[in-house]
This record gives sequence, C-alpha cells and structure tokens, in this order.
Amino acid sequence: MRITVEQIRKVINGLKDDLGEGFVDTDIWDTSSNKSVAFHHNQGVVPQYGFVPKHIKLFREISKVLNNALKESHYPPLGDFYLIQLNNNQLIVVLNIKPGQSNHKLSGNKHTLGYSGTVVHQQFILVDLSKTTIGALLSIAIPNVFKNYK
Amino acid sequence: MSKMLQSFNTIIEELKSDLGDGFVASDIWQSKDAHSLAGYNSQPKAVALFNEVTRTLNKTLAGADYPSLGDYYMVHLDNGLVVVIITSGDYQQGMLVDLSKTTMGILMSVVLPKVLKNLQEATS
Repeated sequence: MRITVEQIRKVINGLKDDLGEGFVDTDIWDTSSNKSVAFHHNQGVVPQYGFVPKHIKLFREISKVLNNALKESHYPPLGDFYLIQLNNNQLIVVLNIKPGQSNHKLSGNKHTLGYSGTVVHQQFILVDLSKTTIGALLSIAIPNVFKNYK
Repeated sequence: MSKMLQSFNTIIEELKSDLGDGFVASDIWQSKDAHSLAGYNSQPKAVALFNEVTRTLNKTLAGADYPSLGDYYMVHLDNGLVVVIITSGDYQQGMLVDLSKTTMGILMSVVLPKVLKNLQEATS
C-alpha cells in the first residue's frame, strides 16, 4: 500500500476540520523503515523524508510491547488504534493503517473502522482535549482518517 | 472483607449493569504485585502483562520528554473488542469491552468517568 500526497492532504485537512484547535500534531510513517512520510505541526505540512524522529521510536517500542502483551494474553492483535491519555489533558492516538478491504461498514453498528491485514503505516495524532471532545475524536475524526486513506 | 475490596466488587457489579453484554472481563490489581484483587472473568496473565505495559508506558513517555501517563489508555483489538486500563495511584483496573454490544459513547462518556471516580475514591 502506497500513501499518496493527495491522501495525506485529505487526512490532515480532515483532522483540522474535525478537531479544530484540538488538533495539535500528527506524523505518518512507514512501519518497515520507520521513516516519516509526512509530519504536521500547526505551521503546516513539512515532509521529513528519511528522518526517524524520537517519537516514532517511542511509538514503535510501545506498539511492540502492546503486541507482545496481547499475544501472551491470547488476545487478538492490535486493531485500528490505541490511545494514551496524558496528565496534561492531551491524548496520544496511534492509528494502524493496513492494506486490503475493510471488513466492516463505516456506519451503523460498527466496531472496526480500518483495513485488514498487516500494519504498513502508523499515524500518530496528538489531541488537546481542552479544545475538542473525545466524541469528536472517536466518532468523527478517526473514522474520517480511515475513510480518507481508502 | 475490607472496605476497599467491597468497593472494588461494587465497581465490577456496576460495570455489569452499565455495559450489559458489552462487558467481557475486568480485574482490579495493585501495581506492586499485579495480583487481581477483584474481577469478573478474571484474566491473571493479562493482569501481569498489562501491569508491565503500564510500567513501560510510564518509562518510555518520560524518556521521550512527554507528559506522564494520565488516567487511562485504550487498545482497540483486531476483533473489535477494546482493552481499557485505568490507573489510580498504586492501583489499576483493566476492562475488556465488546463494542458490538455497547457503544463507544457509553464507554467513554458514562462508564469511564464513573469507574475513574469510584476507583479514586476506593483507593484514596
């Protein structure tokens, strides 16, 4: 699966629209190379080709620890996302972007939003919950991100 | 039974009524030994492993200059279930929830704030 510049623009513009000032930061990276595909701060989109930032190393480590814990607990593997609440009322969201077709619809009694298969990209989103709501994030912004990758 | 254990059991009982069929499992444990003190469909191995995940999260966030872990983290699983780990001082509570039988709104807006408050009161 190859992510296009057009998809990245749609994803980032969608996050700005859906989360407003609650959208702080995002980064999308290839999980095989851990290289950043696109990085956004509030100054705009700045591609960081070939660069492995400290936070990508952090989330690679956390994803590995989570996957190991799930496997050892005989739980299914990581699904579409995990999120971590920080003690400054910000929230880290890490999305798992997979190739293939979605198993479930995006509306109705949904419980899986993204693709099936191996995770090929991950996306980190930093959200300020003092400027948006958890409902806007989970029910609008995250489904729209997955929709914009299709 | 101590007052704290009674409170833990009440938290679990309330989860059954708030989440209905969406409530799959839960454990409450102390971080220092990772043994379940109260539970429903108790998962001792998951308790030990997620206790380690919490420890790693605290360590790696600090190492990457992020603020420390807040009150909870949530992991969406490949089959649509979610694991939620709530922290309160030296205690943690894990929940396994089936989102095909309840909603994210109920979980995040009703259940999570209530469990957080009750867990903080029980462990303070």
